[in-house]
Amino acid sequence: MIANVVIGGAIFAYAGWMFVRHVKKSSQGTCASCSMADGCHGSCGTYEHRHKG
Amino acid sequence: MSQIALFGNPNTGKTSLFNNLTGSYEYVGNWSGVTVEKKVGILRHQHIHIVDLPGVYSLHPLSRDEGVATEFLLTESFSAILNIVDASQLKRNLHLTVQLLEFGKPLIIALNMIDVAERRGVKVDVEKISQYVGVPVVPIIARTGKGIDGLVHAVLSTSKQEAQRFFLNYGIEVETAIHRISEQLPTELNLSKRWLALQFLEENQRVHEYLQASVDIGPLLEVRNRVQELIGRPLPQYIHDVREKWIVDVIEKTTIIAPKQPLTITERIDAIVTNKYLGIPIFLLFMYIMFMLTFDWLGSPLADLLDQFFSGPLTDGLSKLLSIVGASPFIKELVLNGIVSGVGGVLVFVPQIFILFFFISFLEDSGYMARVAMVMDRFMEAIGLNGKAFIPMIIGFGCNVPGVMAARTIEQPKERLLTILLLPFMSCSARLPVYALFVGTFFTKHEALVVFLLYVLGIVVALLLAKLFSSTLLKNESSIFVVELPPYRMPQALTLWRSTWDKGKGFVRKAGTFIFAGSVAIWLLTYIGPKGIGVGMDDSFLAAIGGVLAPILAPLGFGTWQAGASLITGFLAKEVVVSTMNIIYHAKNMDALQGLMVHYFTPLSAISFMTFVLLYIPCLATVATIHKETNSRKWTFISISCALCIAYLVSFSIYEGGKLLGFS
Amino acid sequence: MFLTDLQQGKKAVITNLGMMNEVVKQRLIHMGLQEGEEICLKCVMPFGGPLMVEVCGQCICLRRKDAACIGVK
Repeated sequence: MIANVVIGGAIFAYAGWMFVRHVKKSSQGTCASCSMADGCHGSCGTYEHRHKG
Repeated sequence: MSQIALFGNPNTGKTSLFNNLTGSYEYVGNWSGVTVEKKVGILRHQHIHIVDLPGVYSLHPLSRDEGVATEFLLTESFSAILNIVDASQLKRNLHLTVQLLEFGKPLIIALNMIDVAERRGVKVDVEKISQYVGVPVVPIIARTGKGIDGLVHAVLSTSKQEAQRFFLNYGIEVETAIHRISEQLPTELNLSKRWLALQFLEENQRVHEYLQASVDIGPLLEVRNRVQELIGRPLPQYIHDVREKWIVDVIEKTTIIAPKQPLTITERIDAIVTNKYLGIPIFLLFMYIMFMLTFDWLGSPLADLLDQFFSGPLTDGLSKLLSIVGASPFIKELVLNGIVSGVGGVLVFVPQIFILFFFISFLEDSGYMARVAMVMDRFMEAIGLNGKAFIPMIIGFGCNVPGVMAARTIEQPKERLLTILLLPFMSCSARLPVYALFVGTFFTKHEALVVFLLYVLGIVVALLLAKLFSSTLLKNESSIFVVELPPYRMPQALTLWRSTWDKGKGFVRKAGTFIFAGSVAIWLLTYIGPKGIGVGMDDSFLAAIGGVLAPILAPLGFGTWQAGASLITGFLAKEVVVSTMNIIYHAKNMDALQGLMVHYFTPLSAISFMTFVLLYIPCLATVATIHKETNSRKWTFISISCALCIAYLVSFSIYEGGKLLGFS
Repeated sequence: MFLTDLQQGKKAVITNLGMMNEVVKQRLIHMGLQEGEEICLKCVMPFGGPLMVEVCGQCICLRRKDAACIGVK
């Protein structure tokens, strides 16, 4: 019984966390797709498009 | 913590150097415009930040990736500039160096590709050039990492060094103008006034805007017009010529150029691949081989092996393990039917995706990419785009997100926007598992051909759409196409592997994180229903959700709740379509799933379904990137709705048309 | 004479960039294609497609209509 709770709890907790993280990251676009994102101290995408036709 | 910025012309190896300095594995390639966004890393074992910037020819931005570099100079604080210079193209590279020297910050020159230069008969006297320019010059070969230690040493000693004093005299008229302008600039600006004045005189639009924000621009314009009259020719050209003269002088004194060598390998290869008549056929042949290897010759057998492992040893082992632990049927079902089917169903396609990425990496690193742009330009011109737009499209085959970003290198805003809009139609690697599953079921004899045709369909739809947009919504802008063709080089095995792995690991990681989560959620939705827990699949919540879409999808040939449900989940990430199907159909392995699918799909509706998955909507990450890059809700919305309408129309015509013709 | 009049594989000296589109001209100058440089026409794509030229040991690809504005001698 305890094993069930532990396994089930772990799976659902991990799944929930990953789900939230994915949606958050994807909707940020640009920066999230950058593999340096974790260690990056610059702010990507701050350059606003100034030459709009 | 101090920050050092990496500046240099496009395709001179900035990112290779960055990787060497920071020990990271950033994306590198052999064409202009691989890096479109600045990246920050930390110098190995030191407390210094290194910033990798997109390549620029000068500080006047003509396209958006170049804007990133100029913007960095104007708005960010940093302690020194590391200017990477291609030794085989000294003259052109030094123009940027002069502008950076005028900026006034401490500067180190990394003289890259000395091996390539020597092969071309260019020998640079490093000490002499360092004396002439007045800054440290370190010879390196960024690709192999030669000379990097010396460079790190130079960087460390420069961070203590004082600002260098470079002065190039532009003649009395311009010097007076520089003086006048400098006088009018407010003292609180942190930038070199001489540099600002010079850039303003050169008509750098971005610097113009920058000055406009802090001072009255009127008097400055007056000064500029006056000096222009005095000189009697366009100022930017005059300033360019003064620099050119200085550069030629420096090169004459510091390098020895041997007489021209006989035909280089590059020229010989070019004679074939950019041949008048063979160019396009060779490109298509390359693509065809890529698909055959991915789906027929190599990819499918490997995928089958993996599938056998997942469905056999792995499932049995897990099942036994769970029994020993004493897991309840609920947990067993969750793990075996939810996670193993969902995640495993996607992971079996890893070999195929790696093969595809390997080819894309090869294309990027060999120098062929820019040639493809050239070969395709005439064709692209006809639909209101230019050949350069083809590069983001090829990258889009890997993943649409970097493809959308790569569109930054396109100069004209209209063409850039168009390229972004049609990128979601490029079939990304996440859609590949869907095709692999269906062609493996219904078209075992022509797997590669069917998938190849799907890719082509994506391109054709994209191009037709481009034509439509460029002749209606977005006309009246001339198209521009100038592209640099880098010399060919044999990609290094290590670089190639790293580049492939970098792209592929995202896929594997996604399987372990998001697809895992998605599989659990989907399985849960099939397990519970409005009537309670542990209901039959057809009474589950997922069936209810998918069922809403089923009638709408019926004219396309797949009006089942299963298809509807997997398409909805596919918006989050396209691989999930396959996970969902695996879970819904309760299949133990790919073979079983393929056996089951025959009951729900016919070959015709399978084609219709694959077409729909190819076109129907960009995934969430792509939508977010499109929004960020176009900075417009309107265009993001157009991109999504367009995709939906087109997907519906195309699938509809394929299915209904096919039925009329007697296929089933 | 213009660049487009040049025969494939032949060399000439650039004399005039004045008639070109401003952005294209800027780009070409950045790449080292400027007045006084020697230019070699390497190849021409069919159906009015782009041209490949070599300047200062660097291959550049540009459109025919732009090349038609480059005066050479």
